[in-house]
Amino acid sequence: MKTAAILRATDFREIKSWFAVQTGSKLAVLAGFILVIAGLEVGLFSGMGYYFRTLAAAQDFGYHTADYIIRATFLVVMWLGIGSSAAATANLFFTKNKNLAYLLTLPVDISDLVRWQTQKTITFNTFLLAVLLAPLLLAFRLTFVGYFDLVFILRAVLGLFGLALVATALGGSIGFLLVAETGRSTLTRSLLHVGVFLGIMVLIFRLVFPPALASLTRATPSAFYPLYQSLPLARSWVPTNWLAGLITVGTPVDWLLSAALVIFLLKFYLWLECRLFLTTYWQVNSRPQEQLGFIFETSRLDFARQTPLRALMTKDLSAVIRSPGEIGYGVFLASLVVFFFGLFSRVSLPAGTPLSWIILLQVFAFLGLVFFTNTFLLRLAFPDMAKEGETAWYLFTQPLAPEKLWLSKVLLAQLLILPFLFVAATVWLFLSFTGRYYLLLAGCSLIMIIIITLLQAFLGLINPNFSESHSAEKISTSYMGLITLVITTTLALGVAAGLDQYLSGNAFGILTITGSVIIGLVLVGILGAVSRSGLRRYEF
Amino acid sequence: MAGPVIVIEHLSRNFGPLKAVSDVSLKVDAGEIYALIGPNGAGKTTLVKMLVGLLAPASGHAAIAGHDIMADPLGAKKEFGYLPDNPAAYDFLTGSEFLHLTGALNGLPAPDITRRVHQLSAVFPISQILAQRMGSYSRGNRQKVAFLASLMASHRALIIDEPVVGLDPSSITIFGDNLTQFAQGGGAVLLVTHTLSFAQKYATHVGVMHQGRIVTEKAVAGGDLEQLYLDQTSEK
Ligand SMILES: Nc1ncnc2c1ncn2[C@@H]1O[C@H](COP(=O)(O)OP(=O)(O)OP(=O)(O)O)[C@@H](O)[C@H]1O
Ligand SMILES: [Mg+2]
Repeated sequence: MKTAAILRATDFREIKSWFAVQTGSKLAVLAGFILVIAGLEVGLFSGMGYYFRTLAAAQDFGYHTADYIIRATFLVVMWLGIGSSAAATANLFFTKNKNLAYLLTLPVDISDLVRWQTQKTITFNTFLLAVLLAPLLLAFRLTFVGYFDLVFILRAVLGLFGLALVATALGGSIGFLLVAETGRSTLTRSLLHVGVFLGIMVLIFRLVFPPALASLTRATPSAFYPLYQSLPLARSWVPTNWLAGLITVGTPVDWLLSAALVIFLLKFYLWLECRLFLTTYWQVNSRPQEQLGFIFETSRLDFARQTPLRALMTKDLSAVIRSPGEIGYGVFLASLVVFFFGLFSRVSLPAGTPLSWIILLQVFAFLGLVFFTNTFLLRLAFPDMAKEGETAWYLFTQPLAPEKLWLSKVLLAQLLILPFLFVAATVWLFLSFTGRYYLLLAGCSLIMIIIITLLQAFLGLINPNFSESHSAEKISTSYMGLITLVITTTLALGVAAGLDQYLSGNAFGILTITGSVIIGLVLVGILGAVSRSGLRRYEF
Repeated sequence: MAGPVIVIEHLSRNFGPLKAVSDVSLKVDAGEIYALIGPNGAGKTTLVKMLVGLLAPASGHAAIAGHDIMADPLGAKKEFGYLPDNPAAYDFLTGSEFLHLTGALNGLPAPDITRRVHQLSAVFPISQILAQRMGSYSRGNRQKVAFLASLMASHRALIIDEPVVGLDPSSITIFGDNLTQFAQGGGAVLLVTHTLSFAQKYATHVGVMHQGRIVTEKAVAGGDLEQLYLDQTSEK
């Protein structure tokens, strides 16, 4: 009990010391960050509210559809949560972790360590879910009940807590099994893992959008209810429905089943972790390094025939490709993209769909593209220079012009983002709501992705967090990472607002779009120059 | 080839109020091995980092083979190999890939790189280890590969911070012999060390650094380094 308290105190001290230096600017960035998030939340809230109100006009039909959306959201979020927490658990073992190595040498009970880690993850995930789902839940409540009170907030927090806990426990357990598995990793095995993840994704997809759903929109009021009842997600055996029930209707059975599920999974996970933590740790650390890579592990890099610029890029690329953590992150994000746009490509618009609804989809798809690009870059391109912290003695004493180093990092970011450019250029062709705006939508997406990639690369070169060079995750969530997120998101929101205006028939929108792009380009110019000259002033 | 290769003139650097290095000057000629000794925190590493361009001096100049490290960093970096204490490496590369990378970054032609890596692989008995990822290396082996990397291109100077801590006895001998060989070929070596016996055996000159200054300099031959060190660094 005491150990856990000490560990928690250490965490608080870490946060406090983070704020101790450059407090003012850090608070400003944090405020900007919160503002951007709040803006997104308000936007989502009003969008969902608008949609729910149109549904509410249709009485029972409307309520059930809204309920269905919440259940589907819970299921999808749960799956994504499982994926990310499996990846996080695997990462804990695969990345060098001096803190953990040190803790393990102390006379600390392993179950204390495990409980502390689990508490942290679940608290953080609950918070994340609350931020993510609050607009949806509030809009639902306000539309169909009309008010919200403390009791509802408590129920919502409990429901989200349950969701976070189930995702963490299940994902964590899978993560452990994966770590044990990858010891014998081969290319086929890794592809198999990816295949299973995507397969389940497709399964969930079919669950959320069964063929029967299409006939539902055309059903007569009397036929509606039986049809609705037959949908897989309307069944009471789907565990995420129990948790969603806590927030929507909340029958005592839901409460009971949720509690049982949560308690069982938590106990199981803690038991598994206590049993496996040390052995897994030993196992991973006693494995030859070569086996840790997923893919390309046997390929030999041929630096001899490369120009310095190409050699630098090959080195950085192999840092990504040979790291299981980074590959896992890439695969996870790729599956999110597939899911997100798979979902959108299924949307069919019956005649008479209100224009505002179509515009909402268009803008949302644009923001989705930008969002995925941004998170991908923030983890894989932005930390590229900070990762050199420990190897700076080498890199910065080679006879390389700083401009060449700068160029290599910038080009690498562009190289990494190529698949996203391809997606941005083609995906609009498959979305029914693109309409006659293909050029506009694809053009805006492409330009924004290129601008954001440049900004991410430049900002990653300004004041890099060399002291965290071992953890791409920590680098991307550091102070400069937040700044990057605020700048890129604000630009994207600018273009999104312009798109919204233009598509609603307001020609002024073109100006908003052009303006945002120009601001982006100016930033590219300024930050490009600053990052380029700043390279000379690094000290180690 | 004679004449100073490494020249440090009135170099100073402080961290906040702390004067880590104050007004240090020294020269290392071609053919010399200069050992810099001194207590922990004397400023040796700070001095070396300024010399190789990892830290900016507050004042003063440093040059390698006539190239000022601040005014002409590229020219200077072509002329020296550098080895820090406890060098971290690219864990995801094999030792051999690391050496090839170093060759490529120095702009050597491919056949030269291959030949040089082949030669260097024989310096220490570690050719098997070179095929493994550096993330799995022991400290000593990482040091050896980093040393080999500093020999990849033909430099005129070697700058080495604490080379022998962590090396096994026979590796220390190989290491020292290679330094001597490098100096005899017309190179200049600046090395920082706490191992006085190593300095005594291989260095031609020694400088004692204490509280940011070089307090004495002399030729090694004949003198007792331990007595010199104690005399110069004791608090009076
Ligand atoms: N980045 C830094 N910030 C603040 N102080 C520093 C920094 N780097 C070095 N110092 C301080 O400068 C002084 C000289 O350090 P330096 O590393 O040069 O000593 P050293 O002679 O190499 O010691 P050792 O024999 O232990 O390697 C020390 O007091 C050290 O604490
Ligand atoms: Mg030192």
